[in-house]
Amino acid sequence: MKEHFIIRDLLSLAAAGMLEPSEQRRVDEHLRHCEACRAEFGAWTSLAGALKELPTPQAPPRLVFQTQRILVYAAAHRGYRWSRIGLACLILFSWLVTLATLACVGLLEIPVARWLDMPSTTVGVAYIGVTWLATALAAGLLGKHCRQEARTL
Amino acid sequence: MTIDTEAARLRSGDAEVLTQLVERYQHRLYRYLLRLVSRPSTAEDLFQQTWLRVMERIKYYDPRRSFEGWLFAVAHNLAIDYLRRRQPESLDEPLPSGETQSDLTRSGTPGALELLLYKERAGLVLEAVSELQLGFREVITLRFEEEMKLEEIAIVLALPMGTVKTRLHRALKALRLILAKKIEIGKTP
Repeated sequence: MKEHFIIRDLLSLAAAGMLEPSEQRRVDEHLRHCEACRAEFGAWTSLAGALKELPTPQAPPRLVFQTQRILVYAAAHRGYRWSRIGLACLILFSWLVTLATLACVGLLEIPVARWLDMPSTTVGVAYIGVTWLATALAAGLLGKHCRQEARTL
Repeated sequence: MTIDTEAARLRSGDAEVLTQLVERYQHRLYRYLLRLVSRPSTAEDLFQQTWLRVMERIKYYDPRRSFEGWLFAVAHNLAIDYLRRRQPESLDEPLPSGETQSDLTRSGTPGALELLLYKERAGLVLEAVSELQLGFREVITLRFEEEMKLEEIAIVLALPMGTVKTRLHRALKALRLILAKKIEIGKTP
């Protein structure tokens, strides 16, 4: 009798196909002899069948389209964030290159300073200033272009 | 191309695969979310949030595990967060009938269920499912609509397999009782 109640408690999961093979064998064996449990199992199977046949709500067609657009935008935005970091690195690199080339430029500084009739230090500072400013301007324009591109997606 | 190959491509940063996956899972994911939150507009929001989260967190996905399980776990977490903020539910929250889920799971009425086969079965069952508490509703959807195995459901819900089985058992008992009551009400003149 104890076995009967144990099996009865397993019937819902048996109908749901969630029993271990050993438990399933036990249930099958019991169902062969017990008519009451067979009827009960039939009721659970009907319920499981009804649940499997529930109508599937369809996702609105625009949902997929909207989601895909959002994802493309998010991907572009993420790319834009990386491009900003990339631009900052490029600016830094060009500034360092400017400083590194200053020694070479120094050789030209004196003849240029003589020609312009200016102190050689002023020529050096002007060289750095103009180069750095040009780099920052180029990076700013490139960044603006990237942002506009991301917005149009 | 298999789902796992696509997932592996996605993990390597191929965003085109993501749009294909959105299309592939559109109905299943939407249905799952709709069963959880009941409101189509909320389900749509959560659907979009799920895919955004997938894109953000794809690097944490382990390709050796099922992509479906991972995807539904992401959706589950977002839906639960949303529901916690909006409408905290518990096992003992009263139903519209005034009873609690715990009361329902304690009792049981066999029989009468066969009638369902002949009477607006799907509509009635759907209505009864919507009256279940969130945890019960979810486990039933994952098992019978998504046809997930025990291990997959355990991954989605982040629960031990034993707990999943217990929850499913209780959910089915509660559902059966709700259905029996609905049929009883339908029969009374």
